[in-house]
Amino acid sequence: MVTYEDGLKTCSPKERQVFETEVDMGTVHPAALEPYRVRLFVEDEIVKDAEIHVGINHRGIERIMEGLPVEKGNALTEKVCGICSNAHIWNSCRAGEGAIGIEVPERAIYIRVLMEELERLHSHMLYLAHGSEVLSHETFSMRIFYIRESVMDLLRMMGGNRVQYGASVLGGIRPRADLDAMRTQKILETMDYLEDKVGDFVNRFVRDPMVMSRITGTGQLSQKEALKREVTGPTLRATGYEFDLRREMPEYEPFEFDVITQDTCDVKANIVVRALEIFEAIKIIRQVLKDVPEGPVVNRDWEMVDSPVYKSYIEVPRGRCYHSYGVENGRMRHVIIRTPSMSNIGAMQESCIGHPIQDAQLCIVSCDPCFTCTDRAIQVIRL
Amino acid sequence: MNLMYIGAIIATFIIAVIVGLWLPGIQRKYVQARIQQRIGPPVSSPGIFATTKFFLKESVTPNATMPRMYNALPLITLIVVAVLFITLMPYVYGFGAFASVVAIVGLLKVEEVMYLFMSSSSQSILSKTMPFPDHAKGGVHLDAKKSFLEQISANRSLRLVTFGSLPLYLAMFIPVIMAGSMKLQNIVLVQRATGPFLLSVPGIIGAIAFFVGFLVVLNEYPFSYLKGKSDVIDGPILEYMAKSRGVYFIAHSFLLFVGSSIFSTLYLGLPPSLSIDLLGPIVCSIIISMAGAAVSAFSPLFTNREFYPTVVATTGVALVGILAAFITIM
Repeated sequence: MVTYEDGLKTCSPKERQVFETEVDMGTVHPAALEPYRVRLFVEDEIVKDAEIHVGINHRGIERIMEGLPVEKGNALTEKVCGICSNAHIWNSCRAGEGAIGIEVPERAIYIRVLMEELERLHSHMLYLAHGSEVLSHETFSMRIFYIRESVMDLLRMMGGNRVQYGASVLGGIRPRADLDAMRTQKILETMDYLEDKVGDFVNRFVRDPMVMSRITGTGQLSQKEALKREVTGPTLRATGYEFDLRREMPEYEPFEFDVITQDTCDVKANIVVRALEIFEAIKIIRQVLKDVPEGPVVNRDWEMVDSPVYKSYIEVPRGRCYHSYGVENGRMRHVIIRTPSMSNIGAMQESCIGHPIQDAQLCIVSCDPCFTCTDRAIQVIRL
Repeated sequence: MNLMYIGAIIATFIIAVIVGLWLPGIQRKYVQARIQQRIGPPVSSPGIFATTKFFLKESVTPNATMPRMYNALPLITLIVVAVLFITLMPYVYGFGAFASVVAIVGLLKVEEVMYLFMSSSSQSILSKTMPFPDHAKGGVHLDAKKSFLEQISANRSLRLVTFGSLPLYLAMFIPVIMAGSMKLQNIVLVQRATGPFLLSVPGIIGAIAFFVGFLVVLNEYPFSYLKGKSDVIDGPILEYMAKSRGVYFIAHSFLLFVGSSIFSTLYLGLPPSLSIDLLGPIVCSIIISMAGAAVSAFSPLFTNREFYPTVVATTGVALVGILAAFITIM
């Protein structure tokens, strides 16, 4: 009987490249904020191939959601991710509203956009802080975390919590997350503060020669490779490809903003794209606050109906997020959640190749991984 | 050597250990925390209380090829650093070659080699042996030998021993050239007569090379090549716990003081002794540790791409210093 190993042995050397050493990092590693394993195949400390494995934190949220009432299932999606919790509940509600045919008040749409952009702000700043931490530049990391606190305060003010805001519900937003004059004033003041402080930070960051030496030319991922691997979000835009789903979302139609791209396709491009997107998010938030219409924030005048699977895509801080489910007797059926990090795993593996081991985690982090949310939803490991 | 000398050595030693244990706190509280606009830890916490805490913790056998030897290495390092410190004291200047720059270089090399032994021996669970249920995609690289993270540190420590710390050793020979002697006694006496070498051009150049080289030997950021959090985590010291980790902390803090004492002796002519001269090493240790903390707060971890040019450039600076020293004495 011919075994798998025998089959490998008969391969010619060109087909099967043998690498010197395998270095495993994780599932517990200080450079990784989440449990995942990266296998680096190295020669003389240069990464020749890389594999990323997730599957440690699987909780089967999709399976739990199936059979739950739509309202309860939506609330559960917020637990998928601690960073982009609002994105998940918004997208889940969006899918439910599409499936059932609920009309959402315009004021609620504006506030959902506001919450999402606030989330984008804190997510991108977390990214900058984590990137600085992996660079071992503690000062930059501390500085941006300090600035990020102002956004966390706003999120707490709006939703009542720093992480799980629970703003969106079927038919609109919770009245708790509605805007008033005091909140509007506070957000506007914070946006001025952020624009000033983040601007200073970015200027210092890109002018630091040692930091630039670490991130320039590191983690190259060509646009062709990115498209081949279905890369999404800012990681795709860092390869020079101008695509932002917000341009196609009806919720973002009233707002003016630029799609940020960079052409250098490296870690620096990834960082600069996200840093500049912070300013675009501030721009959108100011437009929301200026133009937010008066009226109700939630439409409770709807009836539960059965529906086939309804798909919803939105642009979250890391890229395209997909939620879909059908409704049967008021309960969820065939729930699927696809997070952007799932698409970007290929980019993380590819960008490590050709760089020293020291840069491997930096290359992975530059793609802004959120493996935990990816993992919680869809990866299944049989022990 | 009479009993009074032995008493003076012990007293100086105790003062040095006490000062050395405060230095990490000074670095973290008064430099890095200030730069990062945060309160920082209590000044006694990183050096004194963290070390004490480790001594009170329960220890288990480390994952190492030779656990007893691995646990003994910090103690050996501490002994080496202590001997290095005694070498600098004027009380042992009568021991000939023992109190010379050659002895200092040799002992520092031993201290550096300890990291090689530590990293070669350590086998933490954080890499190769970490359990993972599924390696479905790994089939194409079946022949690759799995490596512990510490083995990467071992390779790097060998590089450091070979050339990483070269600027420090070259900088140590600038005072030798200016004094015309390898013996510490003569180096100190010449400076007492003519003034500190630090106030001369070769002295200033040498001080720069010494500072950078000393950061490399200390494995401080940005030269924390062996202990980079982004890949090898804590590298050689990953498996140390409880008492052995406490001893390592003491050895590391003490090395910070001893390195500053070497600088004070070679460049200021103020060796560590139970006299007013002890202020020289104390002030130098505070200045060097604060400057080191400031450098580490403002720089990312160096990879090969930054590390090699820095070492080459600093070696060049040290060679210029040596050349300047030759010109000065001519």
